Amino acid sequence: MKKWGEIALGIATSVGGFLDVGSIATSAQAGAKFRFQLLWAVALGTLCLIFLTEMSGRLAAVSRHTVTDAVRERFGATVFMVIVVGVGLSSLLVLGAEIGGTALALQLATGINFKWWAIPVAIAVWLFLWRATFGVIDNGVALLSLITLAFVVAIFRLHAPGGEMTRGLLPTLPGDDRAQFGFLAVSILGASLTPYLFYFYSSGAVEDKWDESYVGVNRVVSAVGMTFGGAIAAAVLIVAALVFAPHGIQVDRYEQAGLMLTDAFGKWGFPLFVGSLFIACFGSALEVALTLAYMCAQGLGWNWSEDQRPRDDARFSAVYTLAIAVSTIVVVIGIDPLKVTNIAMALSAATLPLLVVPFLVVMNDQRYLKDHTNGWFDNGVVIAITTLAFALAVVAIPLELMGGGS
Amino acid sequence: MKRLAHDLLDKQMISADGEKVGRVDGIILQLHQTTAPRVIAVESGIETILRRIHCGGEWLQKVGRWLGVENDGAPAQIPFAKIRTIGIDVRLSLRADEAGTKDWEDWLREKVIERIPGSGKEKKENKK
Repeated sequence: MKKWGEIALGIATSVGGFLDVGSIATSAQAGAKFRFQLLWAVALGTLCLIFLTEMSGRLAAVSRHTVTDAVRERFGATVFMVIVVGVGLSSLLVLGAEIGGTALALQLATGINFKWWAIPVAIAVWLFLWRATFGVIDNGVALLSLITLAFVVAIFRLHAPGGEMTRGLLPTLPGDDRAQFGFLAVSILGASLTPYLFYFYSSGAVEDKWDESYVGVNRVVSAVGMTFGGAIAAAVLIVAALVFAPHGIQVDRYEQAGLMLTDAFGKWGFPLFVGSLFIACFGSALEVALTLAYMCAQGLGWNWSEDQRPRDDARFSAVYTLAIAVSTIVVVIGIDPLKVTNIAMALSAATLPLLVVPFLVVMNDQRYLKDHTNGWFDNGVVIAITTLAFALAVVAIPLELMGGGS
Repeated sequence: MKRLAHDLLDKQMISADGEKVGRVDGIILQLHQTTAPRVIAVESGIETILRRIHCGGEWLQKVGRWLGVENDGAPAQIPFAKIRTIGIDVRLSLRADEAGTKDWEDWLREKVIERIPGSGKEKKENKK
């Protein structure tokens, strides 16, 4: 029974994927502008994530090595350094965006400008990582993120049209604004397929001491966790479509998004939105900062564990401390968090192929996976995701320039 | 038979007491005029990686010397004879403190991390 407590890892991971500041923003924008027409992008992102997290969890459970370990060992120092620089840079931006998002939630709650909140938030994130164990972070984020289910409840309270929503699961092109449609589709996929997710999940599995007997648990944890995140992201989109689209409101500032839940919950709507934004961004910030430290420590062979005291893994602790400090600067100098988010998401979409291609090799390595290597279906899925990742990487930057500017 | 780049390079090193002590970042050969070259040691440290990808790395030792890191923070060399087994990981017959791969770690701990409250220096607050 105890093993099912691991579901927390799946849910906490999906918070970083779907409920970070980027996903909330892009889903809300997508719903407001194109109603349900972009639901398919959320569904596709969820499906890809289920497969990739299942694989990273399986790798960790069977081999007790993380994705970073395997990539460094199989692909060598050069590939590892390219990944560290690419993913590292985009993760720093994402971390800045999450700290900014948490600060924005506090601004919405208190009226005090988010720039003033950036440093207190950064210190709180750091203090958590400095003092708490992995289990506390993992379970805490998973538990608190349940507040975001408010978005799902809102769909029912607003009587969403079932038929039109179902049609949104099939991709169709809109009549006009195709550039922005494409931009939002890429943003949604880029925001959910965040590279650091797989690193976090496989590190978490090692932290939680999974072994071969967890292969089945992992399948459920990854599927349930990612579906949870995907469902919330879809709910944000749907609520935005129901609330904003009829009035032609475009969400280009968080203050507008803040009113999303008011139609469904009345005066409780605003606190629920602020609470959701806060938990989602704070949880994601913890996750991204931790992942940066995991990535460096594992790739370079240092000792690492969030469960150790900082003095016992000084380099590991130094990495997240430095990462938080650097990315806070982005927020403090007052760059619009929504802009940072969009750039970070495009960048992370551009680095995605670097992460997915190694799965093809590593997941077929018997030294790591014994008799749990990928079958033909899994490999087919990875090839499909790789193709998608390359397509996203190619179009991400141009679309950012064309669609994001408007 | 072992293929150096495939079977040794980039692997995680685990000390005799079970700690992660860096990766095999480089391999050191001894060249002879008469006999075949021989692997005498493996090297571990960020500087070795940077040299491998032709990004300098010498500056790192200068920084290390300036900061007063032990051995200037130069890459550690572990004699090939101290390698016990080679699998996904490389297991050493050295303890973690004998491997010499923790000069930077030690410096960071003593000079930075331990000076921040709550780092676990005080014995009582084990966070387990």
